[in-house]
Amino acid sequence: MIIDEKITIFINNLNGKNLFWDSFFQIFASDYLIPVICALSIFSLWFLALDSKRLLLNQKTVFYSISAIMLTNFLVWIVNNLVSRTRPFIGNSDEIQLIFYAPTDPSFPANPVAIGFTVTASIFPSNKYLGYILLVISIIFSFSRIYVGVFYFLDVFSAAIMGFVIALLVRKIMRIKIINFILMKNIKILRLLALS
Amino acid sequence: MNYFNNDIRELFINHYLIYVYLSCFGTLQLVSTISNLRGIMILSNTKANKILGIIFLISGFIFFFSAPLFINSQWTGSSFTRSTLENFASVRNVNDIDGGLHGTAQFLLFFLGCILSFVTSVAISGILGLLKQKPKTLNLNAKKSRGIFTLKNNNYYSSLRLNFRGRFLDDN
Repeated sequence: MIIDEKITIFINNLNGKNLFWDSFFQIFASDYLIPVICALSIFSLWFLALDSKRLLLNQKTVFYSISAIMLTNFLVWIVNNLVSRTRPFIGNSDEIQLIFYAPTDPSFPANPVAIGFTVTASIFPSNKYLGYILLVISIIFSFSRIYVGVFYFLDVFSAAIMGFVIALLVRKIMRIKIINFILMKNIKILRLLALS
Repeated sequence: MNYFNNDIRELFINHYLIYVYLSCFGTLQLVSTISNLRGIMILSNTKANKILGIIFLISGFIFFFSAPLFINSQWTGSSFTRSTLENFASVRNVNDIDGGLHGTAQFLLFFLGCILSFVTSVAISGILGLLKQKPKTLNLNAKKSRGIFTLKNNNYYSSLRLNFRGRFLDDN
């Protein structure tokens, strides 16, 4: 048994002992909590208008985040199809206790975790405070996904790295003159509508 | 309270929309208070508006995750009942092929929630502003600010007028 499976089984075997922690991690692992918090963070950045310089930085970050999310989804989909790793509750059905719904898509890399870390890494340079909050939340989210039995440790770990790398990559790409020009044009149009 | 629609997906869509609407509305009020964008603030008192924003933000989350405790539906398979304290955390974890929401649906509903919350904020703050005082005339300071910053001193309608006028005065 490889170390990845050992860590996964160790974390997963913590469940079923305490109703509070089971409920806590079931809610944290939900498809409707962390993705919404990430989306709300992006939404809040758009209207965080303390001064014109920071507003522009924040609104560019919103574009970076959305682009990075799309790219992450696409790359995860490609890797999912290339690697096609089975879920831990199937691959290690004797040791893993599932307390979540049984997903049908491949396990590697963890798509929701990758999205969480992409948003975190995208927001971090423009708003450190929000970045730290999202980082903590994303780590708990990653842990909870292993705890409930739907991902291996390696799926989550690789997704986190993937999220960070893609966010940095997108930030670099978006600074290319022509892309930045298009971005600024969009922001100027929204300025007419008193939205930027 | 009985929920007469036993289609779990429709239930999810309705609840998710209410959830994101409340959360977006709360976030918008909170952020507009921090940024002092009075054109979209509901209450003129900044402290009260901040508290209002936090209440709405938290209420969205509480509503979505605690609703199964109060609404009868097919949360746990075939039985048409409320969830219990033991299983309320798990009943929201439904695969998209079994009635949950897939990513695209979540994105579209979130986007709709954002727009609805913005429209509500603009409408309520505009109506309350009109009830309290006469609409402001353009002043020198208001002319200087552009874009979203016009919302610091004006309602959204006035901001739109200012920005469209300003466009033809100088466009940098």
